[in-house]
Amino acid sequence: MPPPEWNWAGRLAYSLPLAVVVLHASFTVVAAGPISPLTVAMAPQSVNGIGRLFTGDWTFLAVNPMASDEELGVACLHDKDDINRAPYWRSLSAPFVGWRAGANSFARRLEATVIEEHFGSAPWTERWRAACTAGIPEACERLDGQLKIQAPEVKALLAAIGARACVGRDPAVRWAALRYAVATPTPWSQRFQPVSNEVKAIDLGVYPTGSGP
Amino acid sequence: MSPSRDLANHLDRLFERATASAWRRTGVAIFRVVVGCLLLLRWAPALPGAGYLASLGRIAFAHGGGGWFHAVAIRVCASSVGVAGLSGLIALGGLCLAINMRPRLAAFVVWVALLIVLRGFPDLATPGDHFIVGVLPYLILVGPSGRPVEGRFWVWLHNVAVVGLVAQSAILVFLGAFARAHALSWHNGTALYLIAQHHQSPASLPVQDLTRNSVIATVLTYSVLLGGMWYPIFSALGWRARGVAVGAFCAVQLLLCFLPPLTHLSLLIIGSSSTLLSDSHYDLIRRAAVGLRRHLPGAALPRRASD
Repeated sequence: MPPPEWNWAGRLAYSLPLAVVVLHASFTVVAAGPISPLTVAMAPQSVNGIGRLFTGDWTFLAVNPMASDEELGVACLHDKDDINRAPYWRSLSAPFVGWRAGANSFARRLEATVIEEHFGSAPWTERWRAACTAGIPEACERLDGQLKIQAPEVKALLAAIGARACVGRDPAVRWAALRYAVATPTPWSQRFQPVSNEVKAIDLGVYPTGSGP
Repeated sequence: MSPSRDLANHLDRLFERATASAWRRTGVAIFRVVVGCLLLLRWAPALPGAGYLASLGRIAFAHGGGGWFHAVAIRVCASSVGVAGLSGLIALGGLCLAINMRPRLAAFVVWVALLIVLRGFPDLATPGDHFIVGVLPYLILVGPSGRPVEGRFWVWLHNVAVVGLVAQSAILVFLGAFARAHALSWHNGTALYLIAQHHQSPASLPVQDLTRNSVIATVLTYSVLLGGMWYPIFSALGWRARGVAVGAFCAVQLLLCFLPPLTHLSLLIIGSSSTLLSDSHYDLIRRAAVGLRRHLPGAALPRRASD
């Protein structure tokens, strides 16, 4: 038996939520599913529809487990040319991973983006690099040009990361050295051997902390 | 009777059922509490670091789409006040969802704030964030727990939202597993062993030890994979089989909660699987819990006169 309010407005009110659910769910399939002929054919609709909701990269659904544990290290130095940095290195990541992840994990993710830009390996570069290696010279020029334009910006952000890590510690500190440590997981075949803790460190440069005279 | 008449009768009966009583009240309440707690725990700590986040966001702003929403999001996320306001709103909304205070308004506010902040900082988004953004529209529509849903239209709205919630989470969980299935480490059964080595904490060490065993590592990896791919089928199972399947799936996901890279997503998936069970399942669990308490030493329940 139809409900008492079964005029055209009532029908619309009852069927609208159902239509929204069906559309939202079916667009999710297109937007989050693997690239198939259907997703290619429906790309304009899905980009204009649900594509506005989902901005990120869906392959992040733990498809391939992370290849390495990455760690940002900092050394607060008095002298820019301080050769013996080893005793000063301190990890910015260690206290913030796992169960205590919070705002600092947000900060770490953005710092990772800055570091990717520093190495010119950010996700947005992949498409241009692929076109460049495929033999399109305009793509190479565009990529190099963009990286050159944002290089000073990246330097400034790295300096901000260093300054934040060294602020309020030792008043004599003038420089912050940054490094990126990458630890790859032990392969399955060596799972019962003692952990080697082999860490590959990549230098990110030395930056003024801005606390000088 | 003609087939079309038969179908019309069938749809009529379905419509009657969908406007008669609100479905899955307990499961939706559990899911709402899980989503609220995760939002609160993730976004409340972002408040003190808002200025720093806004200053680092400049690189993220340089890329991305266009349109008025993008422009607004970038402007809001570029200021420390905007970032603090958004994360505060999300955390507050999460608290409201968790304690069932104005949950529908809270879900709406959190949804809009999440859309803005994830547009401003696309690098911050985790699979858990996307999952929450996808299901929050349905949490705006479902009735608040604790008091009955009244009125035919509101019952219909609640039930449609429940169907959407179940369908949406089924699609997302399935697509996640579907994507994993072609990845090498999930295919050869070492994925959880590799994940267990990241971001280790004292709580994750026992699970890490478990994944060193060949049998456990392989079986656990494949059950996560198959559980995710069979998740949409769970809702088509009968009452008893559905309870068993969802229980087993949740047990595996509970184990994954101890691996920090997967904690957020596993808790969300446990929350969404709770919407697969009917209220009668929870009645059974409640009665079983009461019965168990009666047999425990020092039970606080009053004894019957015959004891």
